[in-house]
Amino acid sequence: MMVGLCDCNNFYASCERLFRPDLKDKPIVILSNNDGCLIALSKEAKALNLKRGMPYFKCEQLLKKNNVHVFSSNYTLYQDISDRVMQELKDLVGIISPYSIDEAFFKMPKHLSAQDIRDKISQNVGIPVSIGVARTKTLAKIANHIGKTLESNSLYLKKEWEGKALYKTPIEEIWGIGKKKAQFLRAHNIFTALDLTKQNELWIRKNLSVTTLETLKELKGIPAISIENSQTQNLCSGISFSSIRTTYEELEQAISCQCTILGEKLVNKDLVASSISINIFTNRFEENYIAPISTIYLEEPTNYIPALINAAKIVLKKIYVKNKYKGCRVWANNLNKAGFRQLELFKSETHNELLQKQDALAYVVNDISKTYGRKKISSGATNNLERNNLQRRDMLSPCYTTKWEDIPVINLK
Amino acid sequence: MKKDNPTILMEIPIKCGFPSPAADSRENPLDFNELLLKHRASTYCLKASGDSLEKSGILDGDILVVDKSLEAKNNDLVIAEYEGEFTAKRLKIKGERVYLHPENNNFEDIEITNLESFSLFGVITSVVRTLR
Repeated sequence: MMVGLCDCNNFYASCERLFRPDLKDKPIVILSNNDGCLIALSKEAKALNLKRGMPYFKCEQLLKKNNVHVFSSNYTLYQDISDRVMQELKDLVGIISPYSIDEAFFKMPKHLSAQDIRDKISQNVGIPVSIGVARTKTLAKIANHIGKTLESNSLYLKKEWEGKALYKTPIEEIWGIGKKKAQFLRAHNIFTALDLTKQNELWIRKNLSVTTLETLKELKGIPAISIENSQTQNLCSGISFSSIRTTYEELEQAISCQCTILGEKLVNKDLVASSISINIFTNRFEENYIAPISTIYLEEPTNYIPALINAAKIVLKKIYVKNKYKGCRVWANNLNKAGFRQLELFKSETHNELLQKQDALAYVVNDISKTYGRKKISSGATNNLERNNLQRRDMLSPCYTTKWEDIPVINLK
Repeated sequence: MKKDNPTILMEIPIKCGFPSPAADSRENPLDFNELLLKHRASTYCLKASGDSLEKSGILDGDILVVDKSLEAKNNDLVIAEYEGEFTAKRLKIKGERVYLHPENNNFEDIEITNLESFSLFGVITSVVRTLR
């Protein structure tokens, strides 16, 4: 079986361009939550030597000078376009496994070519995508990477070409090899993916990890990461504050808000979390930067917002010291499908009933949010008003595809 | 198990009113999505502003339902990108030549000479107008 990877090119920038033909070939950058730093760039912006992660205030002049179009992140738009890309891909190939907002793996059907798939999605949704097809997921990633540099934006990597592709792939560009691992490998004279495939499996296992061993197998054409396995393993919700926060109460509020957003995400994906992690951080560009992080295991896997908030408060109490905080993040970890939750065998009936009631409540709250808009109902701990004021999004584009009052206007002249 | 000792599968009282004679014929009510949204992933809505398509029945303020997955044919109403702008016109293909034809006598046909800066966004499949 051959595995395909569909990856949207400069996804956020492409979404911003979809209804703005005037922005074709123009440099575009998208800012993070609260307009803090650059999180996505168009090809033209990358050519100006702008980089992901640059603080906005540091490059504002450069952006102005080069007439770069700046947008606040419009996740409502990006999610809708992502759903369309996934739907279109599913209609074409059958089984898909979304990996992130702009990537999905799929089983490559015999009756289609990589370029067919690319052309169909790019035309039908209006977002340029690249397709890589190879024997394993890790190789499909590499094929996709090379495909992006070709005019067809697609590459079907045949077995006999694999050696050449691996030779051309630097170690840090391999899927699953992070900075640290790459450094370690380079120190041992392993520079390319091809070098890695020549290593002894025992040595890899001893010095790196089991996942690196999986990567090695995948590079050799042996599937080690199944398509279904790569579903989201954790979810994160975070924010940088519009003004500095110092007191415990202020942080508790912010953390509670993030737990609420996270809870909504979990319910929407029909997932429950087994543990959550909290991180609060001060300004990275100032002295004495701190970013404490800690994790707590939940009594039982849940997506029940009050339970998430209670657990988060316990962690926050542990890590909080008075300081000038710039933002916070909350992660939900070890996710499982909600339906499969095991009821606790040794707990009382009433306890299990309570759990079922919590599940039911979570879905009702979610329904209310969906029907009447988010923020209409929330836990008291979030201080409701706050969620409205948290974000600064001065350069937000319209929600072209999800709000009637925002649909693009076409001039009939 | 003996034959004369039947197993009881269920013991629930059943409410027995007179059954609706139409219950088996129930179908879903009319769904506008079925009518307007043939390909959900490739359909976008745009709002018309202006009167250059008047004669086709498209008026200022109408919502245009546009399907990007359809191949445009001669005489289709289309949304096109031309010289960095969206435009809505009737597509006229005469042999090798392509025209964008407005549906209003005050406007003139545009012949597409610069294919480089021309691309079709999609075909207008429906028009939605609410009256009150």
